[in-house]
Amino acid sequence: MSIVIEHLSHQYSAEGGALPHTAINDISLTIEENEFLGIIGHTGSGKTTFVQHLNGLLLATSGSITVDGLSLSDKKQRMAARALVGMVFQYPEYQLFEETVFADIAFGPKSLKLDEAEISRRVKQAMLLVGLDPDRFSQKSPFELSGGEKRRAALAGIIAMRPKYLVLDEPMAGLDPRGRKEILRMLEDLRAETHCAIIMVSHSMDDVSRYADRILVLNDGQVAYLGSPSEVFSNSDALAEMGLSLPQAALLAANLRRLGIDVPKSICTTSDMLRWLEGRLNAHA
Amino acid sequence: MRDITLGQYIPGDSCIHRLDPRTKIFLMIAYIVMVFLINSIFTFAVPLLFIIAVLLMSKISITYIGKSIKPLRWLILFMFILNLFFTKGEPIWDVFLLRYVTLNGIRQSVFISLRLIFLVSGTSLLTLTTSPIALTDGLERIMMPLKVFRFPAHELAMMMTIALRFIPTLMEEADKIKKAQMARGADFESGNIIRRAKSMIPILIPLFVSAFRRADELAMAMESRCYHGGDGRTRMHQMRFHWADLFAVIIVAVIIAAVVLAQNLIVLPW
Repeated sequence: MSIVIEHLSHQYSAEGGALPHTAINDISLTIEENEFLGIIGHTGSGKTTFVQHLNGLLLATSGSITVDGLSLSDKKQRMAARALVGMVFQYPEYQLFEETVFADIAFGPKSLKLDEAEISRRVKQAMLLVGLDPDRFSQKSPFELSGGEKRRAALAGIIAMRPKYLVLDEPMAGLDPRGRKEILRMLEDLRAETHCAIIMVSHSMDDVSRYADRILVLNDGQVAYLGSPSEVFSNSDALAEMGLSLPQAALLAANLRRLGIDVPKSICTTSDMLRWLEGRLNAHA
Repeated sequence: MRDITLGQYIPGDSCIHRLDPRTKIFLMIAYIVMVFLINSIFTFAVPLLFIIAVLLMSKISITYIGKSIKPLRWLILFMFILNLFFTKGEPIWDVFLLRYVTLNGIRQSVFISLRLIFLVSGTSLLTLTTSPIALTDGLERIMMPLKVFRFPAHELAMMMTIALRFIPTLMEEADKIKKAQMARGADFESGNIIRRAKSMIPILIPLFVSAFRRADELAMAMESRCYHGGDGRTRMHQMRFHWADLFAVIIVAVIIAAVVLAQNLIVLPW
C-alpha cells in the first residue's frame, strides 16, 4: 500500500484581479509505506500546495491521487483517507483551541469515533512520545504552555490519530536548535514505534539529508529531482541555480573536490563525512 | 468565504474615482436624504437616472450593484410583505388575507423596497469608486471639527483603516486554521445548524487568539516607529478640492432642489 500520485497539477483560479496561477504541474510519484520523504524547494516552488493534496485539503485540477487505494477525488473515500494521512501545518500551535491539552489532543481521535478508553490511551501515548508528561500537562490550558510545548502538544494531536502517513510542513520553523533537535528525535522515535511514513517539507538541507530516505526537489511546481540524498545533492550547481543550498557536509565535499581531493559522491551527511575524514586521517598516520 | 465584498473597491481612473472622498461622502449623505424625501413613484426616476449616470461615468459594471443588493433580497421581501399587510387604510378586496391589503399598504411597500434598493446601490457606488483608505481619510477630515469636543477622529479613522487592512489577513488565517482542523477530522459540512455552529468553535478560538496576538504585535510595531496618535502628523496624500468637486456638489444640489420643488408644486397622483 502506498500513496500514488499521477500527473498531479493544481491551478489557483483567478481572483481579485490576479491571474490564474499554476502552483504545481504534472507531478507523479509514489510514496511508500514507512519511508521518510524529504521535500525541498525554493519559496513558491509549490511544496505547501503539493503536501496539501496528500489528504485532499486541496483537490487536483488534473491528475489523481490514491491513498492505499482510496481515491481523493471521491468525497467518502477522501474522508477515510484523511484518517490515514496526518497533516502538521506550519506553526501548528495556532490550531490549539480546547480548554485542556488533553481535550485538544483528543479532538482528532474523537473525530475517528473511537471509544473513550482508546482515546485516553492514545492521548497519553502521544503525549509521552512528544515528551509532554501526561500527569503534568493533561489538565493545563494549551494557551499557558511555552512556544515549544505548544508545538509539541499540536504535534501530539496529530500523532494521536495514528496516521499511517505523517505529513509535516516545516515542523521546525521558528524553533531554536534544541527545539529542532527534539522534534527530529521525536520523529525518529515515532517512526521506530509506529512504522509510519514521514513526508517532511524542510528548509534545512542538513536535517533532510540526515533523516530522509528519499528527497523530492520541487522547482516551479515541477519535480526537479527525486532520489536518495547523495543522488540529489550531487547536483550542487543545478540546486544552487534553484536557490537551494547544500548540506554542510556536501558543501565541504564539493569544496574539497574543487581543491583536487577525491571525495566519494555518496557523502552528504555530517556523520558520513566525519567517518570518511577519520579514515583518511588513520590512513595518513 | 473568499467572495465577501466588503469595501469592494474597483480601481479606476474615472472622474467619479477622482472626486475628493470628502465630496463623495457629503454627496452620499445628500443622496440618502433625497431618497427619503421622495414621496411619489414618478420622482423615483431621479435617483434611478442618477445611479445610471454615475455608473456610466465611472465605467463600473451594473453587476456589482446587483451583487450588493443580492444579500438584502430577503430583508427587502420581508419589509415588502410587512408593509403590505400591516398598513392601515381602506381594504381593496374583501377575501381572506387580502382584506388586510390596502392601497396605502401597496404604496408603502413599493416605496420602502425602492428606497432600500436605491440606498444600497448608492452607497455601494461610493465604496466601489473610493478606496477604503481614501474613505477613512475623508471621514477623518470630516470629523476633524469634532476634535473641539475631544472626539477621537484620528483614532477612529486609524482603527477603521487597520480593521480594513486586516480583513484579508484574517481570512487567510481562518482558511489555514480551517484546513488544519479538517486534517484533524473536523467536519464543517454535515449535521444540523446547531452542530454546524458548534463545529466553528475550533476555528473561532484560534482565530481570536491570533487576532489578539496580531493586535499586540501591531501596537508594538507602531510604537517602535514612534506613532503617538494624530497630533502633528502630516499626510503623504494631501486631499484637495478641485473644480470637479464644486461642479458635482452643484449638480446634486440642483437635482435635490428640483425634486423638492416638483413634489411640492405639482400634485403627482402616486
